[in-house]
Formats: sequence, C-alpha cells, structure tokens
Amino acid sequence: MYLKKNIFTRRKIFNFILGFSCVFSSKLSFAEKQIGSPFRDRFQSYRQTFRIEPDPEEAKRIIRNIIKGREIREDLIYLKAPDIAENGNTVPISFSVNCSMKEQDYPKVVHILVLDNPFPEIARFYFTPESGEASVAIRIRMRTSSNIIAIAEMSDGTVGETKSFVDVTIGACS
Amino acid sequence: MANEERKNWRRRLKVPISALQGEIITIKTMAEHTMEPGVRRDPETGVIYPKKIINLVICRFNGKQIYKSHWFSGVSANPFMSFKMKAITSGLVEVEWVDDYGQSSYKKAVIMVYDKNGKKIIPMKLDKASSIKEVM
Repeated sequence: MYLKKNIFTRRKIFNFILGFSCVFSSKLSFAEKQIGSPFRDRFQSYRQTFRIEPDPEEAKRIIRNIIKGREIREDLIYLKAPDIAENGNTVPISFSVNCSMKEQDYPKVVHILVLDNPFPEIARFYFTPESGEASVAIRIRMRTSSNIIAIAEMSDGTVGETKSFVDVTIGACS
Repeated sequence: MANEERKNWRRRLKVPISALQGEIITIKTMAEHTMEPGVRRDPETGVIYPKKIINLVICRFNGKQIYKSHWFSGVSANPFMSFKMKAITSGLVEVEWVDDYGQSSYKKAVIMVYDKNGKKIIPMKLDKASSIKEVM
C-alpha cells in the first residue's frame, strides 16, 4: 500500500503565509491608489462619509489623472444639460460622441464630473463597437449651481472635453 | 421596512419588440432605488445614513457584454438611463444592476430583427446539425 507522506511541512506553511500576506498587502495598496473606485467605496469609506464640504482641488486632480497632458479635441463630445434646474435631486443630462463606431474610432470611456459636488465623479460609461451610437441620457444630483464636465477617451488615445453651466435653485445634499 | 426593501428591487427595461437590420435602437432602463449617498444625516439624531447605491450596470446581448457603466453617489434616486444599441441579429438583451454590497438583479427582453424582405435574422442556423458545428 502507498503510504502518504507528510504534506504540511513547516516550510510549506511558512511559504503559504508569506504568499497570502503579499497578496493582501498589494490589494490594499492598489485600493488606496484608485480614486473613487467602487470596490473601495463598498465599505463606506471615511473620506466619503465625513468630508461633506466640496474640495475643488480633488476635482482638478481627477481631471488631471484622466487627461494626463494629452491634447483636447474640439467638437468630439456634445453635452446637453438644462440652463436652470429647479430641483437639484434630478437634473436630466445627455451626451453624444461624434464618431463612427468602428474598431479604430469609438469612445472607450466617457466620464461625467460635477465640480462643486462633495464627490465630483458621477459616472463612467464604457462602450464597445457593438453599441451602435455612444449617446446616453441619465439623471444626476447637483449640490449647487456649477459646471458639468464630460470627458471622452477614444480608442486611439485622443481625448475630448466639454462643459456646460447649470443653475440650481434647490440643491441636493449629495 | 419590508416595503422599502421591496421598493429597492423593482426594475424596468424597455426594448423595442422588432427592428430592421442595421437600425440603432434605444434601450431605456429604470431602477427603483433610494440611492443613499452616505452623506445625509438624520435631522433628529445626527446619525449618518449608511451608503447604499447601485454602482454597476451591465448590458449584455446574446451573452456578450456591449455596454457597462460605473455609478457613484452623484446619480439621482430611482436612476433612469437610456442608451443605444445596433440591431444586427435578433436575440436576448439582459441588463444587470449590481449593488454596493454585491447584490445583483437583472431584467431581460427579446428583440426580433428583420431583413429588408421581412425575413427573421436568427443568430444560429438550426436547419442542420452540421451548421451548428461551423458556428461553434
């Protein structure tokens, strides 16, 4: 009969613990680098719950991280937003990207930001060539009257940006 | 409380029943959800309501992901969203909403796509057994 050898030697257990700790620590460090990652915000991050005042520098930092010093193309993305919004809880906006949805020329990501919100990033939209047209309508929250910014990152690496100002009479608390 | 919980799970999806080939159709989605941003306080006690929002919406057509969006706390309550899709073959449209706590819910609809001659376009040929192998 085949006798089983001792599988759990001390060396193997040590190796296991080392590997697990490495993976765990790398995950933590990655989570802190990504701003506004949904996987980080799942556990109700401190930053979001206790920083109620808006921070304009954070919005600038997020935009800088998206654009990364690339040239901004004109007439690439059109944003449609109302001039005056009575209720800040539901502001209907829509955008469309001016491109032929082919392999070389389609928007990979479209970001929407509101600068004066306490948490400026609102949504990201990921497209594929199968979605025949990159145009989306959505309703957002706004705290005060401020600029809405839409940034499109194309598949060939170019970037387009627009902004439009919305007057809000009654702001939302977000 | 039970009623509120049930309200958070109502979803709506609107897809046209039929379309011509190459037409661009709009898909309208709506989720009934009190997107709690994690900033609001109880006026009497001052306790912050815990954050609970939908953070991921995925649209699949015949099992392939064609559109995705991440949401953060700035999306309004009862979030409505409409987006476009190109109708090439007839098939199944699925939209999935994922919560902050990983709870997901989905809704599905079927779209029939017709040729110019009024012929149905079906993604897989089911006439012969051999034709299935070619597709696979």
